Amino acid sequence: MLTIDRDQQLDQLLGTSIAEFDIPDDVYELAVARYKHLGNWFSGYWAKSHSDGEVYPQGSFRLGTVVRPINPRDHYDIDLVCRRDIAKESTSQQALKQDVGLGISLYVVTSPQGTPIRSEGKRCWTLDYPFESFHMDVLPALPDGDGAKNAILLTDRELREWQRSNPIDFASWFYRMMREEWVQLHEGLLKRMDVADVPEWKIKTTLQRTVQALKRHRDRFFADAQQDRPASIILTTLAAMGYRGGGTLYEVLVDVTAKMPSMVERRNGVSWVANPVQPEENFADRWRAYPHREARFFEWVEQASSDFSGYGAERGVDRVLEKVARTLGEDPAKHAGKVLGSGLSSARDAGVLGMGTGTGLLGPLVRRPVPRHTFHGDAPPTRRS
Amino acid sequence: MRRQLVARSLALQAFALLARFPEVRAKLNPTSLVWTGTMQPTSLSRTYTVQVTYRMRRVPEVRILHPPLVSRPGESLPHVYTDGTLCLHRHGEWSPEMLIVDTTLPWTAEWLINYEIWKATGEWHGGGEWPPVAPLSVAPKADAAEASSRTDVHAERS
Repeated sequence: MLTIDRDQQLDQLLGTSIAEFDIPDDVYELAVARYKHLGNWFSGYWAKSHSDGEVYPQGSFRLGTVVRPINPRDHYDIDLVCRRDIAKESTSQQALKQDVGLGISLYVVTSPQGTPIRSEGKRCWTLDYPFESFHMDVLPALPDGDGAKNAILLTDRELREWQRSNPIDFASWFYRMMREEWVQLHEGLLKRMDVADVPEWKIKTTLQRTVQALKRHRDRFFADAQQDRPASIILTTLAAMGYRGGGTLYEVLVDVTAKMPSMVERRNGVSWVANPVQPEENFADRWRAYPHREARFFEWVEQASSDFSGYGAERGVDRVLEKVARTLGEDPAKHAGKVLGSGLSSARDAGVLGMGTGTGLLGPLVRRPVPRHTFHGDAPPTRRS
Repeated sequence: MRRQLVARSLALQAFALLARFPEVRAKLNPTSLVWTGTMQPTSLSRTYTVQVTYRMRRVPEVRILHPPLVSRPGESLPHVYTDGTLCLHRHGEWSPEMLIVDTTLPWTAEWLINYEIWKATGEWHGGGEWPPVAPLSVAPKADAAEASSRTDVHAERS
């Protein structure tokens, strides 16, 4: 979109930079097809024992905050809950894990599309799809009879207690925090596409873009110490808590990172990032065992805040893009440059690009269109420094 | 008669430039026009001091006076002549009946934003032809090649 407003242009540049982290449409659609197929298979499997259950996505896939892995050889990590509707008293963590594991083994031998391979993790079963760019972590779960309607209990082979969770209500809370903008964007999409079946997962609000930027910045900051990375759920929770609704992407990036440190509570001397839908659960619980991770978290937030603030202080698109490249990576900077440059060229070729009187600002046509032309040259490039 | 037409054309170019950029300088004499003004191609961009020199029967020449154009390490600036003026169009895409203010200046603005993007990313998204295609004949010495290329491709400026 052509604009001559500085804040809008900065927002577009940052937005298109962050959009480079988005999961590609075909990968997303394939992943959905794969987990739905798995869910349908489990429905049939459970029906034989007269019980029920559900397979559904949780985490970034559900929240719309997936970020492309930095290393292209790494896979997208798609977290699924495999909830078996049985009472906690009728099973054990180990039995549930084995039950779901058996189901997954049986699923794999049916040779489903993608020819997945099963492996076991601490809390999940992993389905690796050798020819796809994603794998699925399937978390065995059962309903938490003592919790809210959507609360679940998860297994963990290193812990005696069931782990409480509620990814559905967490996602509902996250979407509530950005509801107004989401509805506006959804209505805009409806108008543009003029179809009933609008792909809602393609909508990206300022809060979702902010979370994506935080995650990528964190991944780069902790590239050499991945075990110290603050969990995505901590970043997502604090960003959503700090989001006031409204504001440009740049303003939200700056505002949220400035507020994040003060949003970490202290409860009886323990740093606490409460699960907003289960306040007794501390997302930062691991900081108790690894205090240096807490210190590293605050170090990282300070760096992110400083880097994000810097975007707005620059004069020159090259300086902004260079800063994006340094803080979020070269690919997002290149993507943003491409969208801006190609957008202007396309507008010129379509006869809708104009130039402002007295300024030279390129923008929407108000007077005469910029005529078509071909940048040229007279000599092969010579080496200059 | 011919001289009168030439002079009027230069005056018309100057008038059109000053009408759209009233706060800049234009030096007009019987055979040439030199316009020096500032341009900011996008709101996030720097402000550049641009000089357009137009001699009758030639194409306008555009130079960026300030800030100095900076190349990427080990690379030359794209779409720039060896004398430092900008290559904004192919031969025949500009003709004297066109107004500089409606062609050369917006093309300069486009060049500047694409230069900023290129400087950061190494990628030029303004389209065009770069690097220029070498002539098919036996390659002459470098200096002669540059001179002949300028003569062939941009006869109006030679």
